[in-house]
Amino acid sequence: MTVEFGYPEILAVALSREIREGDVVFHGLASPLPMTAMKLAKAIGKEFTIVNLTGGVDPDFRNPAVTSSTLSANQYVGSVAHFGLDEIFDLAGTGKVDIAFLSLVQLDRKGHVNMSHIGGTLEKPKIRLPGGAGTAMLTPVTKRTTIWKTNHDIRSFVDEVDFVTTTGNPKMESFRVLTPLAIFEMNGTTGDMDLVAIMPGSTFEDVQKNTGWTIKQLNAPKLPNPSEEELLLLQTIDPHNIRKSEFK
Amino acid sequence: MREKLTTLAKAAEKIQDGMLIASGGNSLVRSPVAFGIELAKLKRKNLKHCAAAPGLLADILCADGAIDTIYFGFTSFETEYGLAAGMRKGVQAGEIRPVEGACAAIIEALKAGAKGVPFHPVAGMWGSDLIEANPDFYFVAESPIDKVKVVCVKALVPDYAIVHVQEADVYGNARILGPEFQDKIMSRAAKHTIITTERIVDTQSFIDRPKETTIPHFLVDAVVHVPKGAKPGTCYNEYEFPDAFLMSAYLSAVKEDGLPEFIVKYQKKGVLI
Repeated sequence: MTVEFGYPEILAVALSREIREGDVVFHGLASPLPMTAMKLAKAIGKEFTIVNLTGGVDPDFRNPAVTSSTLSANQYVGSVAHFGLDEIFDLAGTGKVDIAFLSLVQLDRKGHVNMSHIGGTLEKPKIRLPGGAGTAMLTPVTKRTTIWKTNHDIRSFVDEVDFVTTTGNPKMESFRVLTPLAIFEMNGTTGDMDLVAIMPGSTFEDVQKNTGWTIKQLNAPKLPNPSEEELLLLQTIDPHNIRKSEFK
Repeated sequence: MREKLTTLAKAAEKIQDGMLIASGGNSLVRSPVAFGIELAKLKRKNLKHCAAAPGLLADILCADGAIDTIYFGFTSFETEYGLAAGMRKGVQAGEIRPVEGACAAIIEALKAGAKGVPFHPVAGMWGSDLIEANPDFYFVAESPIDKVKVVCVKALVPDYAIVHVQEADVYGNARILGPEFQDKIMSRAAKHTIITTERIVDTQSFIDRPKETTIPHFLVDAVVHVPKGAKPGTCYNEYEFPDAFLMSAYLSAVKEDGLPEFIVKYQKKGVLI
C-alpha cells in the first residue's frame, strides 16, 4: 500500500525528525505544522518534552487538533503541568530549551530573519509584518533554532532582508530553515545559509529558482520519501488535516 | 474586602486620554473584547497599549484611532485570520508607533513594572535591529562585576490592566482557568486593574483554593460581569472557537473604515456584547 503525500506531509515529517530523544522543545502561537510534528514524534515513541504558550507541558498528543490555532485547548488538555509563557522564556534564557520552532517572513543568505516590515521605514512601513514574537529573544539562547516556512519563493528567500528582527549566528549549535523544497543550515565557518538537503519531489533547480541568492552547494543530498509508518501515524494523529492549514 | 461590581460603561470611563493600558490574553484568546468595544465608543486619544501578543481589544482600539503607540511582540490572529488589521493599518499610515518587543521583552518590561525598578534585563536579543530602532525602550548594560553585557528594557507601568477571566467574586478576587499568558505579571505591574468575568462566583471558592487565585482583590479596582466578554475570540473552558462570521465581518469593517457601523450593527443584533 502506498500513502499519498505532498508538501504538508513532507514538512511535518521533516520537522518531527528534528526532534531528538531527551529534547525540550517549544512552539509558539500560529504554529500548526510544529504542533503536528510534535504529536507525530510522540506517536512514533520519541521521549521528549513539549512546552507551549498555553502553559501546557506535554499535552496529550492523542487528542487531535480541531483548529489551526496553537493557543487552543488542545495544547493544554492532558498536560502534566502548567509552565507559563514567562517561565518558558526564562527557561530558554538559561539554555535549557533544545529546539524553538520558529517561522519567518523573509530570510537572507546570511541567516537574517525579517518579521517586522518590508519597504518604507519602521515608523511608516510599506508593509507592516506581524512582528517576530519571541524569536529575537529565543534565537541567540536556544540550542537548535529550527525554522519552518511553508512558502519557498524569491519574495521570502532574498539576498538581503529589509530589517533584521533576529539572526542566526555561526557559533550556535545549529540554525536550520526547513521548507517544502529544501533544508538550509548556517555554515559554522562562513555564516552563510548552505543548502544541506533537498526535499522529496524537488530538484536543485526548483530550489535555486525559488531562492534569491546563488546556491553554491550543487551536490546537496536529496532526502528519501517519508516512510509509510510516518505517513500513517500522521493521518492518525491529525485526522482533521490541520497540517494543511498553512498551505491555503 | 470592598465590593467593586460595576458596569462596562463606568469601568471604561476610567481610561483617560494618553494613558498606558495593558490587556490580558493572547491573540484571539481571552482578550477583554467587550471592554474594548465600550472604550472605543468613548473616542479616547493617544492611548498606549502593551502586551506580548495584543488581542482583539488592542486591535479594535488601533482601528478606532485611540492608540498612538503599541508595545508588542506579535500582532496576528494566527493562521486562520492573519495579521491584526487595525494595527497594520494604523502603523502603515504612520499614525501608530510600533515598539516591537519580542514577547519576552514586553514581559520583562512588565516584570520591571511589577518590581518597582526602572528596567529589566532580557536574555538573548543579540543581532536584532530592534534594539537600535527603539532607543527609548532598549539599551545595553554591562555588569561592572564580571563585564558581561546584557540587553535591557525600560519598565512598563500600565495605568490600567484590563483582564478577562472565567471566574471572579464581587470583591475582585479573580481566577483564570487554563492558559494565563502574561496576565498575572500585568496585574502586578499596573497601577490599577479592571476585571471582566464570565461568571461571578462565591468568595468561598477562593477561600477553598487560594493558590488558584490568579489576581487577589486588593489589586483590583473594578469587576464587571460580562458573559461571552471575549467574543468573537475564544475563552478557555467557555467557548473554544472564534466566531468565524463575526471575525470576517470585523476584519472587513476595519479595512473599509467601518468599525463604528460594525459595532452598532452587531450589538443591535445581539451577537456582539
